[in-house]
Amino acid sequence: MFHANPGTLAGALARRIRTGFGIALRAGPDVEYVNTANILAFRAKAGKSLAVLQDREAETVRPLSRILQTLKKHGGWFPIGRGLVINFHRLVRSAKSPAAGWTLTLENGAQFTLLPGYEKPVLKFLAVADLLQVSPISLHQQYLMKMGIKDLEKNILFMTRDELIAAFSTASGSAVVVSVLLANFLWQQVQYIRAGSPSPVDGGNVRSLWYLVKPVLSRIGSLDETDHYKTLSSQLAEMAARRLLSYREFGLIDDGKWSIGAYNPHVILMAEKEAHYRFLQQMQDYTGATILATGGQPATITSEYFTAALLEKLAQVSIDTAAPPPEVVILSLTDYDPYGWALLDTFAGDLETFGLPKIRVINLSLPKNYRPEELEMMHYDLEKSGDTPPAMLRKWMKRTNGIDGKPWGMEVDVLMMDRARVKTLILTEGKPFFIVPPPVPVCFWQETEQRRQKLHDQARNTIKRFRR
Amino acid sequence: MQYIFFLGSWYDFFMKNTKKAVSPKSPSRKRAAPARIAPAKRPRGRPPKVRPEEPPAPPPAGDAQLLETLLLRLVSPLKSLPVQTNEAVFYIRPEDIAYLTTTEDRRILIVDRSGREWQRFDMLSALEKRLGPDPRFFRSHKSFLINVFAVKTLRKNPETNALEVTFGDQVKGAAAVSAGNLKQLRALLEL
Repeated sequence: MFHANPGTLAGALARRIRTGFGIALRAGPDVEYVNTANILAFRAKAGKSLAVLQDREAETVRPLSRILQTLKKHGGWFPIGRGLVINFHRLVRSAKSPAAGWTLTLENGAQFTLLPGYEKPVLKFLAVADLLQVSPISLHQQYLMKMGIKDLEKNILFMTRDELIAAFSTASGSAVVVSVLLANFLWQQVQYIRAGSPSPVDGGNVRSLWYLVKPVLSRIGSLDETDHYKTLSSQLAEMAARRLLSYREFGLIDDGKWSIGAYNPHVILMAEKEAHYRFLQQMQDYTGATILATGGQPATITSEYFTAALLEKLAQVSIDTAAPPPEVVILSLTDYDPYGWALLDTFAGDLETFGLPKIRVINLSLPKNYRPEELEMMHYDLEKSGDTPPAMLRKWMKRTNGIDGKPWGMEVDVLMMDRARVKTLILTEGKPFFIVPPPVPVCFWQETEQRRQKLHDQARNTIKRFRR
Repeated sequence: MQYIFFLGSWYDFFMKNTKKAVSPKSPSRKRAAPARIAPAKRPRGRPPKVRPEEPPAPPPAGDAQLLETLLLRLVSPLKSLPVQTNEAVFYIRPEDIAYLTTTEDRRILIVDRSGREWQRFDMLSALEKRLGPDPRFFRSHKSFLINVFAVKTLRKNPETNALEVTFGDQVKGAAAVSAGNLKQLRALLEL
């Protein structure tokens, strides 16, 4: 077995039990013999050849070219730059160099830079394709690397200014990259929670996380006019969307407006505006469908919590009916304009990201569902309003053809003026998907409202009695 | 059929004649060739090359085996195993590994002899294949690949009553041993 690769074996043995060749070094007027196993590198400097030892450098008696011939017998010694040869048997780590190339760390912590162009024999010796990435690599790991997550031992919250600058500044060392710092902060916190520590923001919201990291930004002088709360929020949303962490792990509270249906949870009645949530509640009482009012662009935390609850309910339905989970259908009430459609696409995409299988989307706010006079009188010109970027408008026109080929939009509120018509639309479009046909037996919101009313009446009567 | 028989008989004939010509000490036919054409008369032209001296006789098989076993205890003949972290790639010498196991999120957890833990996105069967040429690694359980030379105790877990091996005070946890693999493991541990 050993005879297959004697060079590798000799090098490995040299590292392990310090067998190796003796190299003559100049020590003043004397000559000192040091084993190659104790030498980290050889470098050429000002016409001299130096051996780099753990704690010092010493000039060799023989020139580097002669020493290299000896080292070849052991294998594992490769040049990493002009006049610099290191012992790869003592390599423990390779990482990206802040400048160009790779930073190599040896067993004693000594670091050297491997310059581009010298990596080929090294890759062959280590039997790897890349010095930064092990193959196979998970998507999860790739995302972490892309976001600049670092292997930090110290808690970011307690790092000094210098430590923060050393860890998160750019290659030139001038400024701290705040987005990378915040991503690392979030990742570090979630690692502590996963290791068993309680969440420092349990029951709070994203603001709570911001208040936690704010002093760190203050320490490095980054609390300027830029709103880094938004950076934190977007980094958190991105990490949650990539499934690197979840809002639930932090114990954050979602104040989104949604409710999972008891009878037809797989049919989602979705409204863009929170003002329509009351109507959705009434529809849930009638159909037993799931309801959600996004209030503009849906928050990632809402999508995560909503999907988790919906998946749980669908699993329960699947067990109860002894059938596979039904197809999820979104009946949406969004504006008929590019932003309304983008919002719907984002929401459907989020649901898929958080684990819902294929989703069918039925938009109720289409020109065919408006009366001709409404289309004529209540439309607004998307080109003239100037809110929509031209490219976005062009794309939307290609998809929908606007209203009779004109770049006109319709607010969903126009449709909602006639609630009976919307109810009929929901029942017609949702009919093929309802497992329990409407009306469903228990009206949750109605009962809740009645109970509330009853309590209110009781309280009022009691107050009256006391007054008497 | 006849054709195959014909070829076969030719092959036998050829081999018999060749074997006679080749010296039994020669390891290959390439080296044996000069022995066959030993000159009977005085050579003409360039003098024949002086054959290099025969290599020294190898040590007795028992000693060589012992030496190899001792070397194996010191170092692995395999290359370092790279593992990924968020920022860098670490290289772990196979002889420094205590055991490898699978995690809940379908990764491989590598624990070294000093108790440090590493993760690798891979399959245990793939790593078993990679580390297979090194006899120190043994699949003790469907979820565990252990370094036999790092084993400190073989015991029954007092709580679960399941068989397991431990790797000393520095290494947290233990590696399970399935009943089917116990006999082989005992043989490897010379029990």
